[in-house]
Amino acid sequence: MILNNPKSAIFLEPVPPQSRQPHKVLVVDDDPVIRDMMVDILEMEGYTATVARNGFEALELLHQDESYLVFLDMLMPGMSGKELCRELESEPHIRQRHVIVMMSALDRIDEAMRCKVEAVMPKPFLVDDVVRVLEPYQETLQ
Amino acid sequence: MSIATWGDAEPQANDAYPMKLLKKLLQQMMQQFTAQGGVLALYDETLGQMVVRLHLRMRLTSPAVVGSPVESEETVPLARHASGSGEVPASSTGHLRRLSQPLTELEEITVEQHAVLFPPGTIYAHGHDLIGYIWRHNEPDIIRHEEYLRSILPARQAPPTSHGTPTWYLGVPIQEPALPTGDLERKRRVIGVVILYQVSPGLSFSQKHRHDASQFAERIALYLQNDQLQRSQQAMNSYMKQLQQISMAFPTAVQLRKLVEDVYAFVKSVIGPCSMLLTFYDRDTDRLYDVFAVDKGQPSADLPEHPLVFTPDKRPMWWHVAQEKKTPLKLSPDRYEPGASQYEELFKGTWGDQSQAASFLLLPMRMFTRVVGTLSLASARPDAFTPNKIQVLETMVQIITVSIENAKLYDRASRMVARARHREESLATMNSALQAISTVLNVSELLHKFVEVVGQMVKAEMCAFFQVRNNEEKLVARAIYDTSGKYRSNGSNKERHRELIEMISLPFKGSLLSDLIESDTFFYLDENNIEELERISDEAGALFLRETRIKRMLMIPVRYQNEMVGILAVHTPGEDRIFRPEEVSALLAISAQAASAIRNAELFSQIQDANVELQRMDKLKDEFIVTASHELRTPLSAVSGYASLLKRQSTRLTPQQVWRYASKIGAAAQQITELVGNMTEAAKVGNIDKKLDLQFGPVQLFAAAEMATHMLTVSIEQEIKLQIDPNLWVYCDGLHLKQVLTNLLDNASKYSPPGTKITVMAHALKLSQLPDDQIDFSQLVDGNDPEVVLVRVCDEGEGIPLEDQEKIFDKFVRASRSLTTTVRGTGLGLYICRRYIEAMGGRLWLEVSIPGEGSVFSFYLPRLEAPVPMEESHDPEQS
Repeated sequence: MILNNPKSAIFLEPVPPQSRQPHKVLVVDDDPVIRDMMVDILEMEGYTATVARNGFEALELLHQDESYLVFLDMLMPGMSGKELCRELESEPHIRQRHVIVMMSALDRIDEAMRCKVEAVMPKPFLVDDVVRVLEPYQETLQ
Repeated sequence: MSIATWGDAEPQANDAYPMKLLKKLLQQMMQQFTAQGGVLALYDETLGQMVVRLHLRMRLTSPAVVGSPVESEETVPLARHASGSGEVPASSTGHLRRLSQPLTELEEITVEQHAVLFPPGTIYAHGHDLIGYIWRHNEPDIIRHEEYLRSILPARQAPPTSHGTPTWYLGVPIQEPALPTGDLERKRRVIGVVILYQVSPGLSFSQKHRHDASQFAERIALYLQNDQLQRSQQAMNSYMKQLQQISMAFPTAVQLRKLVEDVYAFVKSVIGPCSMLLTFYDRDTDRLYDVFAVDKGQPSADLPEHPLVFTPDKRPMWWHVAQEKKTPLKLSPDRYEPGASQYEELFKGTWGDQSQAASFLLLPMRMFTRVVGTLSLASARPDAFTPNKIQVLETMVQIITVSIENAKLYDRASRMVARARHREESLATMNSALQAISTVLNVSELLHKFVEVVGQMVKAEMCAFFQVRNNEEKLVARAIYDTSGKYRSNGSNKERHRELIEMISLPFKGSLLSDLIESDTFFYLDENNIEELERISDEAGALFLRETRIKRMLMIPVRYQNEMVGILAVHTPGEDRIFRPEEVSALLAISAQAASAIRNAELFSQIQDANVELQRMDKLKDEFIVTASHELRTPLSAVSGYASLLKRQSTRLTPQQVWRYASKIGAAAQQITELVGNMTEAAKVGNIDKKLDLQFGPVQLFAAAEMATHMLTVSIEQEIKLQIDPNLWVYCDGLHLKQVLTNLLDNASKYSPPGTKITVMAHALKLSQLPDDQIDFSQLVDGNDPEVVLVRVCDEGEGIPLEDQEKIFDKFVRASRSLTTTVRGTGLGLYICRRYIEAMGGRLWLEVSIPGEGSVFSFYLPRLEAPVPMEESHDPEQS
């Protein structure tokens, strides 16, 4: 499962399951710089992104009748990405609608991988990493 | 045995003469002169009179008057009958057997035969009776009985009647043997008298007999002299044997009492019962010690344990004899003569009332040329001390002197051994004490151990250790050992006990203590010193001095190399105790050891503290690295993200987009630069003692705040409001002030929600108007109260938890949740700010922080009058 090059995004599920057909991209990060950059990257790649500043905001969005691909920061004040994942475990019908990509510093990558997410993207990342993560869901997104 | 005392005759008399020999001599003399009876009287020195010692006569025929069989055994048959010409006396006039009869025997007259003429034991004075007559005339004489009755026999005395009255007497004086060189003309002394007599009427003495008798008497004299010499030789031998026994007893039996008892037994065997006084003289103390006394045969019971002490001037006589003449003195003082008072000290004193004694003998005890004492003797007999006896006693004194000196040496040696053993023991105690204290690394525990060990070692009831504190200004009690338990810890609250004890302090620098310490290795404080010290001590110190009832206190400075560590104070409350030199030296030794132990313990605790600090710093550093890497990661993400975006979309991007992305990269790079700059700055500010490179000058506060605000507004989501009078100027380094403000504003923005307000306010005020805990009081001396400018940075953020409020000024420290918060920063900001402000003569602190409502950070700097009137200039670039 663990790729040879941990510096790029890691897919924890090789093939995206049929049930997961995210239509929108959600960026969850407490840092405005990162949020802005993600929005810039996604726009340049032709996607529209929704943003949330912490786990609570994200959770609210995820409960709505929509299927998201979530770029989730692992460490955040308020509710962290980790906590959000744990929260969603008790709501599998909601969890299974979404694809979660955990953004984490390299030194905490193992922690991120234990959160039962579909992919892990180490920080700092390049546009290519984002693109690679988006690729499997290209069709349903936009 | 057969001869008992007669009147006052001395009991030993019969043993003093060779009776067998004398009897034989008298027998021979009787035979030679065909005498029927013979009487031998000898001069008794004690009495000064002649005493009949032997009386022989021809046995009477009548068995009825024969003495008892026991006495008869003494009689011996005559070997040869002297003369056959004698007639047998008539039974009416005498009861002697006929001389011609072969069975004729001599009869010895015994005491029981009272009626006999010249009974043995009878005393005759000079000129008294026939014996006294011969003594006086000192010439042989032949006297008829009638003549005797008429002119010699004392008138009142009735002539003896029974057993036949003698008819003729031949009296011969026994003269002292002539010395070969003696003066022949001089009449020699009479040492005895022989009376021969005839009972039978037909027998008489001739003139020839008279001459022969003289010669015979001479012979008796020689025999007597010879015997006497032999006797004195024998006596001397036995004395020597006894003396040997006495001296042999040493030094194994060194008990003085035993020795003097032996001595008295010996003296008694030489001169008979007497009084004796043994006196020692000690040169060191110049005192006389009466150590043993016998009063007329009764030893004094308690003298050896409690000798009586005198100064020499109380005993002039003794001093004269013992220390000036140094030879034995024999005297028979006549108490009624003028000048007898000089002997007064002999008549009474330790040995009781000796005024009835007839003679005294003082024997100096010489050890080489030194006189160490005397043996004084007193006897009721005037002639007790004959030259021979003096010689014997002198020898004895010589021997016992040596013995006593030996005993003293032995005693001294064993005392020294005991002292050495004691010293060894105390060294062992000290050693274990030292081990005990040198293994303790906790200073307070060590000091308690130290005072306890010292107190027990010298058996002092109180022992305290005072440590030099506050730059030698005072001595603070650190540990007190006291047997009363007043200052003992009850064990439950050690910290409180320690605090209570440390309240006791004494002044040091400039007090009498520092003067005394300069002068000596140890000293005593007497009551006057204590009083003086009490006056200048603080309350607890004075109370301690008063309550412990110090009479005299031993003070031992404890120094490590040349540095004063403290003072050890030892005393027993209420006692004027002076410690023995060996105790003081033991205390000095242990104090020296304790000094280095204390120093070691202090170093150890310093090292421990440093170690704890190092560990803390190490942990902070680790945290810092984690924090810093976290903080660096975000701008790095921006840099790499935007850079990759530029690269990927290079052909599609509009120039506006390129500019925007490049700006983002630039901002992120700037952030990284700042972080790195902060880190190096922190390292530079580093230790508190490091001097900062500051450029002081007048700075307009408003301008500095504005610049700081400009730097931040691009990146923060809060509104910054400045409420600063442009006329407020401060004296500081402008660059550093700007950095401080930037930091504070940045912090405020990090911990505040977007859209809230951050306000910077400034006022001019007097230093004394600031909160007390922020005033540097050293600036307020001499009525000074400088003007300062107080700057406040207020935010509406989340506030700082109480437990973090102190820590946030530490290097590397950030509020505890730092890793999970949005807040960025290396945690160096506040630490650096505080260092800068302090270096510029101000203070920086967290004035207030309420969770959820916000925080106020404040600092002040010295105010400066505006160099030029400022009305509208809002932008002074030169700061």
